[in-house]
Amino acid sequence: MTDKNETVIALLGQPNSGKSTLFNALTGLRQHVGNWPGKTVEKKEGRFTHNGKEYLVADLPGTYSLSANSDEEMITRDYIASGKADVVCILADSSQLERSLYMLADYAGITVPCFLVLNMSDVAADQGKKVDASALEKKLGIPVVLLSAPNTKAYDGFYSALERAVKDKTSLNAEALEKRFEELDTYRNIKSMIPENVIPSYSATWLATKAVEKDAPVIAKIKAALPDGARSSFEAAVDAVDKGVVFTGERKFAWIDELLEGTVNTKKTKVSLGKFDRLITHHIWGKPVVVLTIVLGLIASFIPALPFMGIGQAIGKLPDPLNEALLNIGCPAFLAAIICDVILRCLSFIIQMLGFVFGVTLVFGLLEEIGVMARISYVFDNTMAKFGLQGKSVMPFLISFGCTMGGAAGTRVIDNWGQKVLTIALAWAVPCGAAWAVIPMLSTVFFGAWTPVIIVVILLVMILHMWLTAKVFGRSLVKVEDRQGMIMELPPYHKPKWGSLLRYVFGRTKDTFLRAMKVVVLVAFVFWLLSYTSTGTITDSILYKVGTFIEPVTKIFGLGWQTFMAFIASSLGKEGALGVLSTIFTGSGTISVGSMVSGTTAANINELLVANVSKPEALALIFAMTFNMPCIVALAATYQETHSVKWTARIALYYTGVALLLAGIAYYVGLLIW
Amino acid sequence: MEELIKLLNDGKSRTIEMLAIELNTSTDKVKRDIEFLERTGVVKRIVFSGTHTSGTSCNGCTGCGTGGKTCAGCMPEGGFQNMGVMWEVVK
Repeated sequence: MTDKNETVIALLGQPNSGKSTLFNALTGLRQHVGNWPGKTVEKKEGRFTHNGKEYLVADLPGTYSLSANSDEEMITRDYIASGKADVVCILADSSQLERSLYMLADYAGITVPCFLVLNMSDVAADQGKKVDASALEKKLGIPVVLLSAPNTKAYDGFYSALERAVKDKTSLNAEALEKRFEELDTYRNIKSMIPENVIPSYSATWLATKAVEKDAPVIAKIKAALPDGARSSFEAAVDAVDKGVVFTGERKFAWIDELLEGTVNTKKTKVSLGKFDRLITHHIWGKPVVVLTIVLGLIASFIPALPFMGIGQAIGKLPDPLNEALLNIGCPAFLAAIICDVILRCLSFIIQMLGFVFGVTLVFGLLEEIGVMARISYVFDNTMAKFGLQGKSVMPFLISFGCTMGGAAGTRVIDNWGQKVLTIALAWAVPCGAAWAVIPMLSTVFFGAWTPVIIVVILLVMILHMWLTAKVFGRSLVKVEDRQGMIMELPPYHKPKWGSLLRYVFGRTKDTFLRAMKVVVLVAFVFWLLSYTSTGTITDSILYKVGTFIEPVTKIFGLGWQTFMAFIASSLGKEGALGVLSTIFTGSGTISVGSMVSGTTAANINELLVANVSKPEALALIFAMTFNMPCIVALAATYQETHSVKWTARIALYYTGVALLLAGIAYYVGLLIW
Repeated sequence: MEELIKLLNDGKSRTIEMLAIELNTSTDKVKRDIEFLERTGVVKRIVFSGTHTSGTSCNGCTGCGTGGKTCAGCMPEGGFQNMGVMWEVVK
C-alpha cells in the first residue's frame, strides 16, 4: 500500500514475456518513466483504477532469473525484498512454459503474495497447446490466469486473479520443489545453518538455494546475520559446493516439468534427424558424402570461371601485335615492353584467375547460405580430435579456405596457446582463396580436363599434410588433456539470400583483383628488370646467372630455375608466381627470355607456358606453390597471433621444406605418368 | 543438465537433436538447458571473429578490418550467418 492508499502490483517476468504490453494496457497514459536510484536502468510506474480501487503498477526490469548477475536482477530482487509491493504478478510465456516458468521456480520461497499470468495464450492455442489454468492453480496455491495481453477486451480473468491474490494474500506453494532440493546434501547442510529473517519475506529455502548457487550478495547477508562462531563452518559449506547452480537448476526444471504434466496438452513429436543430417552423421558414409560435396562444389565452381578464362586468353593474344604497333608509331622499345610484357600479360593471367575466385566464392558462399557448410564443420569434429585439437578449430580451417589471415585471427577463440599455435600451423596447409584461383588456372593451362583430378589429389595431400604436421608439432604443443565435446545448433536449411551473397562474391572478386594486380605487376616488374639486358642476350642478365647457378639444386625438386623463381615469388602471395611466369616465359622484341630458352615463338602466354615447361615440372610447381607459405602477410599474422618468433620461423621453414619435398615427389610421379 | 555435461565429457560434439535423442527428451528441453547453462556460465557460446583487430586485412590494406568490421575479402558482411551456434563447457 502506498500512502495514497493504492495497492502496489509489481510485474515480474523474463524479457519477451509481454510485460510491457500488459503494463501499457493496464495504465494507458497514466505512466511515469524515470531511473532506478543510482542505476541507468529504466524505472516505469503507472496507475489504474478498477472496481473503485486505485492500483500502482511497477514494471520491474525484464530478467531471466532472480540471481545476482546484473543490475536489473539486483533491482528486481531488492524491490521485492523492500516490501513495497503488495502483490507480485509473475508473467510466463504460455507457448513455451517449460522455459519461461523458470522465473516462477526462482521465485519459490519468497513469501510476498503473488499470482501467475500465462501470457500469449493465443500463440499457445495456435500451436495446439491446451493449458489447464485451474489445475495449475491447485498445484501452486496461487491464482493462475491465461491472458493475451494485446487483447484488452478480455482482461476480466486478469482482474479477478489480481483481486483474489490481494484479498487472500496468496503465496506460492513450493513444497514439491523444496522436497527436490532436499535431495542435495549441500542444500540440506547449508539450510540448517541459516538463521531466521536474514532478508524479510525471503524464506530460508530461497536463501539456501541461492547460497548453493554461490550468490554473493545472499552469502554476505547470511554471514552478517550469523553469530561469529557459525560463520566459518557456513563458509566452508559454501566453498564445498561445485556447480551448485546446475544441481538446483536441474531440480527447478524437473519441478516445472512435473507441474506441466497433465496441465498442458502438447502433441508429442518424436525427435529425428533430417535426411541429409542422417547421412552426414552416419559413421561410415558421413565423411565420403561431405568430401564428395566439397569436390563437386569445386568442380561446379569451374563453370562460372570459363568465361573469364576466355577473356583472359584473348587479352593474352594482344601483347605481340600491340608491341609491333607501338614500335611503329615511334614508342620507345623500353616503354612498349613494359606495357606489353609486364602489364598486359599480367592482366591476362589475373583475369583468368579471377574466374576461379568468383566461382569458388560463389559456390561455397552458397553452401554456407543454405546451411550445408555448418554441417560440414560438424562432420570434421572427430577429425579435429585426431589432430589433438578442440572441435572449434574446424572454423579457423574453414575460414582459411578463404584467407589464411582470417583463419589465424579466427584462432582467437582457442584459449589454450599450444592448441592455438597448432591450429595456425595446420591452417597453413589449407590452400587459401588465392591458391584456389592460381592453382586451378595453371592446372587448366597444363592439364586441361584433368584439373578436377589434380584438385582432388591436392585435397587428399592437404589432409595428409595436416595429419603429419599435427604429429610433428603436436607433441610439444598439445598435452593429452580432457577434450570436452561441443554442443552445436545446426541452422535450418533455407533459401539463399542472393543479394547479400552476390555482394560478397563481387566484393571478394574485386578485392582479389586489386591485390593480385599489385602483387603480380610488382613481381613481374622486378623480375623483368632482373632479366633485362642492354645487349639483348638473356645469358647476360642477372636473373639468368643466378638462376643457372642454383639450378642444380632446384632440379632435385623437379623445378627448373624459372619455375623455382616462381615458387619463391609465391611466398609473397600465390599470385606472385604468375608475375614471374609471365615475365620469364614471355617477352617480345629484343628483350625475350622465354623464346630464347625454347626457340619457339607462341602468340599466347598459355601456349608459351606449355611449350616451355614440361608436365612433370608443372605438376611439381603446382604442389610447391599450393603448400608453400600462404603469403607474407599470413606470416605476419601468424607472428601477431602466436607472439612467438621461434614458432613463426619454425612453421615457415617447415612449410618451405615440405613444399619442396612435395614438389620433388610430384615431379617423379609426373615422370612416371608422362 | 548433469547428464548433458557428463555426455560431453567423452569429447564428442553433438547437435541439439542428437542430445535430445540420447537424453530421451525433446529439443525444446535441450535448448532450455543450454540457455540456462549459458546464462549461469557453465557453458559458453563460441563467437568467431574474422575481423583483423591487428589493423591489417588479408589484402594487406590497413584500417578496413578495425572497429569490428569484417573484411570483405574474408567473409560476407557481418560474418558467416548460417554456420549455426556452438557452445563449449567452461573449464
